[in-house]
Amino acid sequence: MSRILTGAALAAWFGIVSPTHADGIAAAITPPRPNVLLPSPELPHDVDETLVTFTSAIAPFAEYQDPVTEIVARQANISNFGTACGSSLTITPNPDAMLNVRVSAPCLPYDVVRIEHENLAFTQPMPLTGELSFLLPALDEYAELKAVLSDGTVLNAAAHVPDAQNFARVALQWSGADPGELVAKAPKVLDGQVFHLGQSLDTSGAVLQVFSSRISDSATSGVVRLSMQAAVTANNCEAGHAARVHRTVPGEPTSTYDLTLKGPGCGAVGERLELKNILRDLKLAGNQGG
Amino acid sequence: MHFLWRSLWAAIWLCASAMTASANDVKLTSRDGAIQIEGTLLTYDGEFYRVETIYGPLTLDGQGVTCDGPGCPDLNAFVANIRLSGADRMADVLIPAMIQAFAMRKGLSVTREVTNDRQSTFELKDSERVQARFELSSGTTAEGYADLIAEEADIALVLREPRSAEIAMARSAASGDLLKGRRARVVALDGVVAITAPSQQLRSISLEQMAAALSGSVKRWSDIGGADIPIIRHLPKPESGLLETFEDRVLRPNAASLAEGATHHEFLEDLADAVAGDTFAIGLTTLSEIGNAIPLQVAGSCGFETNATLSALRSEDYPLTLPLMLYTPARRLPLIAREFLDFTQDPAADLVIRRAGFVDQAITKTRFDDQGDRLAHAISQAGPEVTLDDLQAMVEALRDRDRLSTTFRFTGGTRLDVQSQENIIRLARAIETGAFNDQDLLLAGFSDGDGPAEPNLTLSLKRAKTVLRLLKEAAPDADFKRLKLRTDAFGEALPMACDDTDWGRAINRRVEVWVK
Repeated sequence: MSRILTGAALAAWFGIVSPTHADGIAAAITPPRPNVLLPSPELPHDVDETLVTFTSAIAPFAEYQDPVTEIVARQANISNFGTACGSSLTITPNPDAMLNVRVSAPCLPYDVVRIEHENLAFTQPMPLTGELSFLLPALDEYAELKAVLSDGTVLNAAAHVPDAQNFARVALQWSGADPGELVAKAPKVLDGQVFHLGQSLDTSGAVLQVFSSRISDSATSGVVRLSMQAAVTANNCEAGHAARVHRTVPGEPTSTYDLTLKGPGCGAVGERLELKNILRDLKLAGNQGG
Repeated sequence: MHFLWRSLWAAIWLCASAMTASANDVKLTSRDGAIQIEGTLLTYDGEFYRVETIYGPLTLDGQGVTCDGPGCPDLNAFVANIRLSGADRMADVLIPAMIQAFAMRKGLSVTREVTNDRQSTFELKDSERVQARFELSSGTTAEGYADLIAEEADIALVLREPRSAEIAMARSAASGDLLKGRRARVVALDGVVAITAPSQQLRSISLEQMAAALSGSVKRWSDIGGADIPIIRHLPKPESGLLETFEDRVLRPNAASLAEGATHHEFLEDLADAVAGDTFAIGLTTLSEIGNAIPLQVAGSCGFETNATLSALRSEDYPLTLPLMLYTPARRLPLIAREFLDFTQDPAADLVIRRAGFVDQAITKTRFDDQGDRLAHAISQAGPEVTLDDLQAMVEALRDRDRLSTTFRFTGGTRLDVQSQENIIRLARAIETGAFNDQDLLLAGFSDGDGPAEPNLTLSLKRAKTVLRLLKEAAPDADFKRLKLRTDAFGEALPMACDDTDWGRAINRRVEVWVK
């Protein structure tokens, strides 16, 4: 058995690599092999291209899977896409003090992942591929991030975001179903933006909204009005909302505090709850304003 | 959450039982059994029972008595409940920030339960249980006093001293004399300002012009020195302490009253936003809530201009300083409420106040060199009444000293205004803690320029001596041997505002503190 194999291997070796030996020409005059790989030869243009086209538009993995095959797959640590099951979390700083967050959990598609950053959290369902990627405004110069997967795995990552100290950010976390929203109103000269993160489908879910504005070097100053709005629904008319506020503003100590918003009663379903005075307005002063 | 509901129910039950119990529901017996008092329990603050009896409300130390009856509180599960009610200027930003900082200092965690924009409850918890609840209602100064008188609030948040009608109401409601004792604590300062849009060209008006423009007696900007466009007025809601203060201090002295036709805003935020976007608009608001609008400078006819700045508000050099006060009732408050009141007066709270956008009362210094404007004015006004010798003597006395932000002003004669009474206590405390040891404090009295110079000089010296006496009374523990503290007077030599108006003269009647 092994002899046949060795013979075949040798034959292959001689047949492919060294035609020179076969011709009996001395090895000394053999041109040296290139140190780098040669580029692949160009395919002739008349190759039938239909060969490389995938015809299946419907991913077969979305179909119902037999539990037995799933167990077999898990035991083999292979995802539906044939990749290894190992989960990972990577964060990389992006421009404007944003973090590029990638959560990879190929064997937990559709499961909800909980992202935690600076005592705030939000939940997000994993896509089909088990690869989640999004941008998160960093709330600290030394950003630490935690991802809790549905199987209990906790992943940690950290990154240094020096640019974060140039941003004023107010983050509002809403827990529970039917979350409300953070509303920011500011004059046009102040550039600001509200980021919405996460989806909350039930009481264990949470979403995060972050208002972010760059503290510019110019003398521009002004006030950003921050308010909270929530639709009164059958899910929250009695229980109300639980929320958490996190303020990180240059020149101010970072603060975090909890809010519970009382439900207005189920007679008010369909109305909108608007709270103007609960969140402190953000006063942004340019360098002149001090 | 479950626990929260349960405690809420317990609270509701307690309230309900306290209100409905018309018969005697507690019997307090002294330890030796000699004295028994029956009555309806009004409050229990963790230390003291307050009972409505046939003798009227009585307060009894819980350590000296035993309690029997259905109204007796659970002594181990006592949660202090402190109700604060009053001006939204304080309740919206300042008091929440103070409660947060107070809780952090005591190592307690805070959850704010929001009912709506007007009602919130702050729950202060340690690792085991709820220690205190601060119920905060945001409304007006008048509501704050009314709640205090009706015993529906423990601390009123107010922007002005009580009016005579409120004092009379307090007397008849047996909740005590609202003016007796030191009941008002100035927590922070704010300024009443008139604002315009950034696009409005006029930047400085006199107080009389401000009164005319905001009351509606002039209709066009050109009437007060601006462009020929109409004036659109935006005012706070009628019963707010802010509008009342403006009426008391600006409109009444100018014999003006508010004309119809202004837009009244429930929230000052909306007012500021409306003004910021309209070149025609003028608005009345506070310095802490100017939003994206710009405050107008206040000018005097003789050329003085004052800006509502941090230092001008602290020293009351700006004519429309608005003290934000906590008013407490004559009855005893729970321990944690008293600790909170002390915290609001602590220097540690100054930073919290500044970050919340208000002016704290910290004692700061400005150098003599920065008084150039005032000196130039003094020289230009010098004449037969204030001679060159007078000015030279004053410069000699003050030249190598710094002026403290602490300034004392008088409502008339030698009675100090609220903010100055607070300043006495602040400065006395600083002296007691040795902040001015080995230094030389000069209390410099000044007067307005009304009347001949000689009596004015005497009066200004009298004011300085009054301040010295009050300081010594307020600082019984101070060692006055370790610092120099003396008085001097310069009469009308260094005016800060024009003497042709009441408010200008009020600003000029003062005692400054100079240190070296």
